[in-house]
Amino acid sequence: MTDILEGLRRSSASIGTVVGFILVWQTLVMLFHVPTWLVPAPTAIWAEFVKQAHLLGRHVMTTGTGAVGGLVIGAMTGLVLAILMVQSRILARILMPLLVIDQSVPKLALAPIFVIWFGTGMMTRVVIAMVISFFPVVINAIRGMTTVDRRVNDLMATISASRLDILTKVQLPNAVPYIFSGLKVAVPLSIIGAVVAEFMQSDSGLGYVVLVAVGNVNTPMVFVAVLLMALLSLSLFAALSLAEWLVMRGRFNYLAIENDG
Amino acid sequence: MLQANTVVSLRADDVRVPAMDASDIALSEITKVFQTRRGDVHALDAVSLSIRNKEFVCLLGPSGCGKSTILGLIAGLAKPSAGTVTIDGKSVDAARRAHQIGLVFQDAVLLPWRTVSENVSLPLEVLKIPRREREARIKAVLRLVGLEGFERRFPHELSGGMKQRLGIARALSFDPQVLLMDEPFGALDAITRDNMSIELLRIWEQRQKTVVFVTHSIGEAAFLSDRVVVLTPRPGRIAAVIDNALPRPRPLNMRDSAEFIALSRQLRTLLGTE
Repeated sequence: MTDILEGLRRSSASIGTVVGFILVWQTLVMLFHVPTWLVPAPTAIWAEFVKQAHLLGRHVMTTGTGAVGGLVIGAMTGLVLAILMVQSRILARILMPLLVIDQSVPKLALAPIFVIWFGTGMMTRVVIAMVISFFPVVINAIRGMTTVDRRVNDLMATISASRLDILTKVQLPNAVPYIFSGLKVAVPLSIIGAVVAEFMQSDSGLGYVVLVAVGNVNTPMVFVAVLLMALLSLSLFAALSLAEWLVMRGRFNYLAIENDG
Repeated sequence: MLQANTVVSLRADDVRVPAMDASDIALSEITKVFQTRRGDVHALDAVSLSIRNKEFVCLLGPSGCGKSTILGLIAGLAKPSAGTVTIDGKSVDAARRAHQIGLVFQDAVLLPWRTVSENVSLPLEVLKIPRREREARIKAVLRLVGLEGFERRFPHELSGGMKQRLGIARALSFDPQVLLMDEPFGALDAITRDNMSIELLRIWEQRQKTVVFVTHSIGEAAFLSDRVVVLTPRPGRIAAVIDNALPRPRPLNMRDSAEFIALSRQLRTLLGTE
């Protein structure tokens, strides 16, 4: 109980900022009679949300499924690539330039091509979310696996440890916190990927809701959809943080202590 | 297992010993050159040394004299530029495959996500020792180093001395014949260091290991060793090999004895710091 109160007290500044921001917004819109199609007041956005809430669940689910699907496949691909690149120097030399090129290409600009290749369904969402979210996982996983104390490698060498032993007992555990950092970067990217896919051509999802609302000059609905994207991103982030906490508590406590100290 | 060790007193001028000795570890005419961007660095020059089975040898010298390099060569972590290293007449690689080498570092180098027990377990897992036997060995070795009751703690919950005990336990867990220790107590405070020295001698006497102990502390070398190998820096050469005849067991107050002080003075002279 005291923990909750303590938490509230500590987050009161953040909550205050958000509430204050909404109040200022509302006041300015009312004071200057800003038309709703230009900038809707928070109350107008809320009213629109309440009116359409029963229709929105499906779209949130569609975008969410695409983003999570892309994130999961992207993270797994990224992890496998990272493991391969850490195991083999030749593979690292071949793949690293490809990764850098891949990262330099603005993948969202490729979205129309993905639509040609994968159609307008769920597949395109997943693919775009995947290609955009796997890079931070690869980079962080590689860093996590290679920032092992040299002397730990010496130790493993003196007992003739196999590569598999080194991978499973040293490199991967060492990379766990790094992989979570990569995933946290990847979460909002995956949502952007899914929404961009929906901007191309689709019949559902929050990106589709934005397109339709803009077509109808229903600006409050645009805001509703964008806020729902943010909420989706926050929930995924929260779920990831929970998973991180569950995995890291105990074994990776030393990191928290290092940060405090 | 006890071999009759011929006790040969080595003076500075006859330290060169042929490689095929009955000794446990033999370094013969070792030269080590590191190639760096600024040119070659001669870390070791014609180092020959023979370490007997179950002997406690200290490598003493200032930093940069290549004493850690010698340890790395015995561990097989680096190859000599010239010369040979053998352990029990076999190559270093063979000794490594036979799991004859245990390493202990200055700051323990523990895996922070593994508990005390799990850290000791690491080499045993690599050696594919069945769980039952693993547990028994962990228990025995933790008792040996005085870490009973701390099995479930994590390294960050341990003091510096306890971390070193854990590092020693891990090195002893798979029962290697040779223990290579690289300034293991260098980061500890003086009091903990004294305690750990006493503890190490107890463990060494109990487990009958060959210990090669790198240090830059004259007092530590004099207190612990059977023999002290004094090294000179750049390139690392053996200045002298001194027999340490101080009686065992050695209590801490032995350091006040005239013999201890005389030995320390001799070592200090050889190091050129007096």
